[in-house]
Amino acid sequence: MTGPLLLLAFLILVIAGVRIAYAMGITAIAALLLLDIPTSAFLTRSVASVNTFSLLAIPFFVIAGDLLTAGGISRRIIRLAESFFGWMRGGLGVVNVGSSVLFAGVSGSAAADTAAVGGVLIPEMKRAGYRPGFAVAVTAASSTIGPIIPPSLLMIIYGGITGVSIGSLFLAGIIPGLFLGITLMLMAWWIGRKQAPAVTSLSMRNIWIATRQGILGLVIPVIIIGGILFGFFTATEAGVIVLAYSFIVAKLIYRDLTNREFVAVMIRSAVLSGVLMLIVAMAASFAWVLAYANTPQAMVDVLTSLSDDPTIVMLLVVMLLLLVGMFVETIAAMIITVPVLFPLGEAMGYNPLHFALVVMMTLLIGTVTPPLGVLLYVAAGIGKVPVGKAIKESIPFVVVMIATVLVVALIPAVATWLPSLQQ
Amino acid sequence: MTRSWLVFIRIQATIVVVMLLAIVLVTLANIILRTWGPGSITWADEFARVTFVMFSFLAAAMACGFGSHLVVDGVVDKAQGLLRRILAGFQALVAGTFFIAIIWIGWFQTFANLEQATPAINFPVAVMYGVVTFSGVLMLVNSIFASTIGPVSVHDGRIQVGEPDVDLEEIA
Repeated sequence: MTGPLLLLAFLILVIAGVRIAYAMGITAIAALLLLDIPTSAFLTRSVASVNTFSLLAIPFFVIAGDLLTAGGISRRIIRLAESFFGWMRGGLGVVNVGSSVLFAGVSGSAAADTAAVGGVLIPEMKRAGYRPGFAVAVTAASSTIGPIIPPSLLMIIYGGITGVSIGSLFLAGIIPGLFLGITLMLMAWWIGRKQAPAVTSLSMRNIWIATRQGILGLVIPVIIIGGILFGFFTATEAGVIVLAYSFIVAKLIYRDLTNREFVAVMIRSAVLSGVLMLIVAMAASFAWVLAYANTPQAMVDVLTSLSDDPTIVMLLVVMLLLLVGMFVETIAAMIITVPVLFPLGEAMGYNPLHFALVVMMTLLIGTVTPPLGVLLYVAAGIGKVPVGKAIKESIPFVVVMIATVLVVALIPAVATWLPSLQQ
Repeated sequence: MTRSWLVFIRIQATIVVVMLLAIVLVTLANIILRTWGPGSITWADEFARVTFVMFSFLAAAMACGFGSHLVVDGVVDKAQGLLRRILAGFQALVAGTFFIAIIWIGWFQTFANLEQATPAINFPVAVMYGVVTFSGVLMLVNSIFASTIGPVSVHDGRIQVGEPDVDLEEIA
């Protein structure tokens, strides 16, 4: 009974507007006191969870992504996507998704993608004649590819909580991320083709120029994937190499990064890393207390009492996460649900990488659905479009995203094949 | 008062950024020396982890000054009048209790680990817990400053009171 009470207390605190990290910490401490366990366990667990080499990847990839954005990578990536897809009728929607796929290999977050790509393409799509709501919806939906294709802050945190290899998670995300990109591109083209003409003609010269300008950013996913796949370095080491590379590109090659902007990047990265690490630290104690109170086992019992068929249980998990993702921000939702669901995945015999991808992709759908569609709100804010219009236009994209999640959920090889090649 | 607040948070920012740069440089140097040099730096991994623990808690404390810690504010945003004030008071009470708990537990952990040191660099574990305890104090002080004077943000490479020129949510 302690477990459900703990979860209830935590949820009440979160709904009352208490910061998520504080709510997890205070609930864990209260539980330790109630269960008569020394409170020193709280700090020991929290410090031990941060004292992990793999989590160093968080600040490394945050700095790298922010350095490249400050160094002007986003406009080069958009120009590259435009040269490839801008010649089609309704091509700017496809350009938007294509830019997000390329940007996903540079940045580890969805909101960064929305801001960088949406800031340029939403106004451009509006000017070209696309419905403003459509421009916002396609930007928000395609930004969810960011945390699926490596690097991904979401995957680093997932790995930090569960102990699943972050390098393998990175590899597992590539095919599902590209698959989602293709399905969203098709939907964007299908809807957009009736709205606006092509913005440019197909020209090998344009493609060559844009590729030459954007190629330095595109090397990053190659460094990460190649390095991990061929065993040259770990995901964390890939982070520091990408960081050094990003600094050289932004500062010495693009020459768009000023010293002031570099200082700003470092401060912002430190703050964001602090925010994420406090959550990871508190989640470790919270998850430990939940495990002590047998909560994950109770959850396994409840779900397996409904069905012992792994496919049905997987679909139930997807439905549960869709619901949670609609009301809770993605990182928070993952931190709340994963300590409970991960043991379920183990009990049902799911491949940990496959299960991780299903969890993350499902929760990300919540970023484009009301009432808490964070990316939809960010994109609507950028495009100065009423959120209601964007919500209506986002429905086909949400359907595509759910279908993609179901494909990944039902065909594990989509996520597990690439990591199986790891040396 | 605003000036003191800015000086205080800028000192913290300088410390955490220096720690972050140290972690980056040592990890990078380790990879370079392992790949092209005489071999790995034996203490690099432990140095990076220990520094990262202290960095994480100090940066989390600094984030209180930026008002950046994640919150689900859907219900709170809809509350008005007395209910809104009650919720704000409740949030402050829980946050304050959390900070004091970190200080309290951290204090005892610091003294419980006075004899412990890390294996490679012989770094006192008590110092690590001491920094965690101190970060609890900073969380409390930064939160008080942020709620009375206002949260800080980065403008044109400098920390100032007010709205940021790049929203942290955009890079989260």
